[in-house]
Amino acid sequence: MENRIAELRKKRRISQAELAEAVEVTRQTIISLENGRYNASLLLAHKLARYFGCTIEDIFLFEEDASC
Amino acid sequence: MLVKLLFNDGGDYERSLKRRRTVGLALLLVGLVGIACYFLLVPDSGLPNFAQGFYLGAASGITLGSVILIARSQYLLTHPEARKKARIKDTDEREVTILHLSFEAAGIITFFASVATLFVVLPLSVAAFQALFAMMVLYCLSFAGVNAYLSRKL
Repeated sequence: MENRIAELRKKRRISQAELAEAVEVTRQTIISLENGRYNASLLLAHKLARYFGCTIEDIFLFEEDASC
Repeated sequence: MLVKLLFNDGGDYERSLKRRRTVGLALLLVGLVGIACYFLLVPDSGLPNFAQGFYLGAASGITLGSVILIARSQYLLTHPEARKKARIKDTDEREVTILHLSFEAAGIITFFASVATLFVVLPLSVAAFQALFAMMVLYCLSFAGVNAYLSRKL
């Protein structure tokens, strides 16, 4: 599953470490998420969506028409 | 790792640390009993050298491990900043997934290695065969029990 975490993070000009701290995971988890090597749980997806002020579907791309 | 996996109390990390500390104290007691046995009982027991070495090695390992566990738990309980970092590391979902997958893979490898070992061990030692076979039966029963429990719970 693709996601827009890196794009949204860069738009906010925050580091991976800052995002990791905000959603209470390790920086390595953010790196793995951004690289698409690891899929977030529903709980983490919810935390990320809340942090970025989007819906889960806006971040995790089930379809091509995501917008945030 | 095993302690981290077994004593991870969902959202209440402080409670998890207190439970780990209690487990550490229990393990320390086990280790000290082992060391006491090594010095008081083993010398007159006539056990072969490797068995005596097992007593000392296992007891020392358990004692040292428990002291580290107690010290770490106590340190984290009294240092909030360090506790926050440790909580994130210990409860990080990717780390937990890696831990679960590692245990799963290790279980599968151990099981198949044990089956192969049964064939090798039987002609050499019936007692070793029975011990290994009993462990495999326990593994299968544990799996069936946990599977049935989780099927109802989840």
